Amino acid sequence: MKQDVTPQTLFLEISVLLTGFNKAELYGTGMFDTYYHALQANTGQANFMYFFEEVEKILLENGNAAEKINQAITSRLMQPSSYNGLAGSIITMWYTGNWGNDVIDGQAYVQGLVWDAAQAHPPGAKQPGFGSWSMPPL
Amino acid sequence: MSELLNKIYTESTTQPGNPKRQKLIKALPAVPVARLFTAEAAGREQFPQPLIRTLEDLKRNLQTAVALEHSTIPPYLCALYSIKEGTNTVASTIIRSVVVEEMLHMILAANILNAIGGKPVINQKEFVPTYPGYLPGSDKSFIVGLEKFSKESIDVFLKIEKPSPPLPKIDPEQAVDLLFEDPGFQTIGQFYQAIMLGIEYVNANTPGGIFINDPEIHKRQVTQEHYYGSGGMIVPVYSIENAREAIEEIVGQGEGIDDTIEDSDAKLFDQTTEYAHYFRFNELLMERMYAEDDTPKSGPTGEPIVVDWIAVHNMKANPKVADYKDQPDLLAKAKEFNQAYTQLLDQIHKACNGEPEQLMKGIALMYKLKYLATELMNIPLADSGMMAGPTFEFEP
Repeated sequence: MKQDVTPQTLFLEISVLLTGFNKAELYGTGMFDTYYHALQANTGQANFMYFFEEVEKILLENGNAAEKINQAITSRLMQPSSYNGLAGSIITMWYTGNWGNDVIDGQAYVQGLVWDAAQAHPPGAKQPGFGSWSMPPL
Repeated sequence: MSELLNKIYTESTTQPGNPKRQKLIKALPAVPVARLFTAEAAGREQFPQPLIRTLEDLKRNLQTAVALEHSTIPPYLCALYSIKEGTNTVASTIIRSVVVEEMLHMILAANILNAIGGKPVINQKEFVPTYPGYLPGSDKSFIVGLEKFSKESIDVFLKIEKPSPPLPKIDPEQAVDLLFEDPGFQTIGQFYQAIMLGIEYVNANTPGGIFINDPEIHKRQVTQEHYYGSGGMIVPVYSIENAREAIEEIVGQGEGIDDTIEDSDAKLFDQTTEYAHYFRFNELLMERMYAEDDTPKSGPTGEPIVVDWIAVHNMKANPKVADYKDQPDLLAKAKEFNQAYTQLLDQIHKACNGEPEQLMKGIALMYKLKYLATELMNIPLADSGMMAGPTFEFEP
């Protein structure tokens, strides 16, 4: 069964490719809807539309060929000049919970992928429990 | 024998000088006798025999008690973790406070089992309940499942914590006529009353008693230094007095004592008054706090509580990892949760089998479980508009 293609599904697909985290991990942050809305709010309508048209093209053209998709993303989305650097902003958003220098949401800091990637936890939140520092990692 | 039972029925079996505690224990015999005694002895003795009469039966039932306490935790955790971050503060606090006490009860039951030479088994597949299902040792009158926070799930929690009904005085004439037909118990309180009666009976009939006075056995107790930050107190069990105290703690926290809505902590440990589990859940359902002078009959008449039944992750009830086979990412996460859960059971098993210091190590795992459960509840299922959830299955 093929899901309908919407900007949301494309945002999810491209987020997986840009962050290296899988769908369950991205949804698991609980930030998907918040980030989608932040993306919409912070991107000009035309730029938003062209970006996702390009994302859809890249996905359609390359099927399941991961290497080709990566190459296409690098050459067509990752240039700072491409779509006002939108791809880079999406990566920053997922990893740090920020859009530019602005914090998107109170939960965004806690749910930033940067903590998982570093196998750490956000200071002041998601603590691993009293005394855990005295034990070797699980 | 009738003398002993008569003593158990009619006299205080607990520490002198604590009127509250005596009142609590005196209620013991006032249980539907059919549920606590067998009819085997009918006609032969003045009193029927307690249901639990041998050390082996006692150990078996205490193992069931450990399993029973544990079996309430996954359903409570599902409700707790389904509440969206930053909402329903009162509801979260109430459910969390109950979960923490169920963990305490599990350890208390294990302490009693260890004190009489038993070995709690916690890290086996059979120990992990199947949801939806009946509570271990129950009379199978209601089913417990893994569900999101809702009026329906709180209603089930009320059934779990239901106080034993006010019961008739023992009439020896009548007692012998009652048949013990149903091996299950209506309430958790009844189950513990049967256990307490069994402890008194077996202890009195065993030369030297059943509580083993051996430093090696004493070392198996989980004590306050291994357990902190919870409502209630851990009671290390070295004697029948300690066992009575532990059971009072368990039953009192769940059901309230002496027809009041307070739990036993305030009386036993000078802690601030906290209502028993049943009444804490009832506050949620009624969306109103109990006031100081409320009784079980009056219901809560205090300040209203704002319960947002909508601010909840729409977790599909009673999930299984097998449901997630078409979503590999989700499947992996659900298994990761189950591995952490199984690992936690293993650590609790070790803690209750001679390595009590292992309990502290479980704390990091408990946090991990919480974060993973919350992540699962944020993941939409492909085949429905609902969300995934923790499946609490054994995954070594």
